[in-house]
Amino acid sequence: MTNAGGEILLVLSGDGPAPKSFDAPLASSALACVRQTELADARLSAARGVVTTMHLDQIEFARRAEALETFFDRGGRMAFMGHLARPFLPELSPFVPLGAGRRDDFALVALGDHFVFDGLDRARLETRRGVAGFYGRGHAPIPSGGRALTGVGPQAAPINWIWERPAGGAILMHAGNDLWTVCDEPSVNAALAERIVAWCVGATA
Amino acid sequence: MNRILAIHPGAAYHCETLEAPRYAHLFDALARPEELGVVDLTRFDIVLAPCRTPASRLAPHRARLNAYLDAGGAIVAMGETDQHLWLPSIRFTSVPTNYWWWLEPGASLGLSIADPAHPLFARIGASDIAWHLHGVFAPPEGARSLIDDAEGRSVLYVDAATTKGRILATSLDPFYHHGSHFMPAATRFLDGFLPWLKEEF
Repeated sequence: MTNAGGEILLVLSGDGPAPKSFDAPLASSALACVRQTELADARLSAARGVVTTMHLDQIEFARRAEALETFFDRGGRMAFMGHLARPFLPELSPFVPLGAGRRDDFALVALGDHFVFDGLDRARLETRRGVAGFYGRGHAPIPSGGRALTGVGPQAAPINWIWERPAGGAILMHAGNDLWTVCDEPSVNAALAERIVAWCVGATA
Repeated sequence: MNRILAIHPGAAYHCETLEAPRYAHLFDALARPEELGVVDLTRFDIVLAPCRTPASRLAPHRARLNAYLDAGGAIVAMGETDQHLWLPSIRFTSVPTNYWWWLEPGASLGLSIADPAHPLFARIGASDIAWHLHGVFAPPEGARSLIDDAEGRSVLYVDAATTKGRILATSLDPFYHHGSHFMPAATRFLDGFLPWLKEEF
C-alpha cells in the first residue's frame, strides 16, 4: 500500500491562521491545514506528505511513532522545520545549537542541489534587513545515507538535508525558523512554501 | 522557596527552556496542558504558563485554574498566550510588532520599568526587558504594573485584587526567544525573573 493520492497536511500547532506563504496551495487544495490537536493518527499515516512548523508539539508528535512509521513505510514525505528536540524515528538526532553566535556563524553555503532551493542563492536567505541569524542557529545531524543541502557557519554544519529512509519515505530538514519566513521578499517565501508542497506531492526527488 | 509547576506545551523552545540545565532546577514539576485537569495544583505555589502556550489548550481548564486562584494560588502567564481566553480580568490589546526598532541608532522600544522599587528590578534592568512588544494590558483596579510601554500601558503586571490569589500577566515572550537561542536580552530576563519567582514572588 502507498500513500499516492493522499493528502499533503500542514500541521498547525498554535491557534493562529495558516502562514500567508501557503495561500496558493491552500486555495488550490493542494494542501490541507490541520490543527495538531485535531490530527487523527489514521489521517497522518494515510497522508502523502506532512509539513510541520517550528511550533510543533514534539512531545505529542513523538508519541505517534507507530502512525509515523506507517506514514513513512507507505512512502510519505515530511518537511520538518525547527529544532528537533524529540527525535521521532530511531535514525534522527537532536538539534545542535551554534556556539557564540558571531556573524560568521550564520554564513550559509550551498552543499547540494535540491528542487526546493533551485535557482535560489543561499546568500539571499542569509539576512533579513541586513541582519543574519533568522535562517537558523544550529544544525541537525544527518542520518546515515542523507544528503546535505545547506551548511551554516565556518564548519558548514548541515542545517538543511534530505534523507531517503531505507524502509520508505523521506525527510526534508530545515533546522531553523520556518523556511517560508526567512526572506525579506514575500514572493521568495511563497515560492519556498509552494516548492515544499510540490516536493511532498512527490513531483520531484 | 516557591514550588513551581511549569506547563510544558512541547515545542522545541519549551523543551530547551524548561528542560535544559540552565533553568530546569527552578521547576518542581512539568505538566502538559492536557494534564491540568488531573494534576493536584494545590501542591504548588505557582503555576506557570510559558510563552506561546496555545490558549486553546488552556481554556478547557479555565474553571480549575480559577478555583486554584481563589484558593490562594498564583498563576504566571507569559506572552502570546491569549490570557483573556483563560484568566479573569484580562484586558489585552495586541499591537503590531516592530522587529526592527533596534536597527536605528539610539532607538528605543519604549519599554520602561514602572515600579523601580519592586524587588524584581534588583535582578533585572531596563536592558533586560526590551526585545519585542507584542501587546499591552489595561490592568484591573488594584493591580500593580511593573513594566510599561511608552504610552504608559502595562506590559507586565501583578493582580492580587481580582481573586484571592495572584496573577502575573505579561506580553513578554522570553521562553520562546531564549529557547530558540535567539535573544540575549530574553535570556538575561529569565536569568533574573525565574529565580525571583522561585525565591520571592
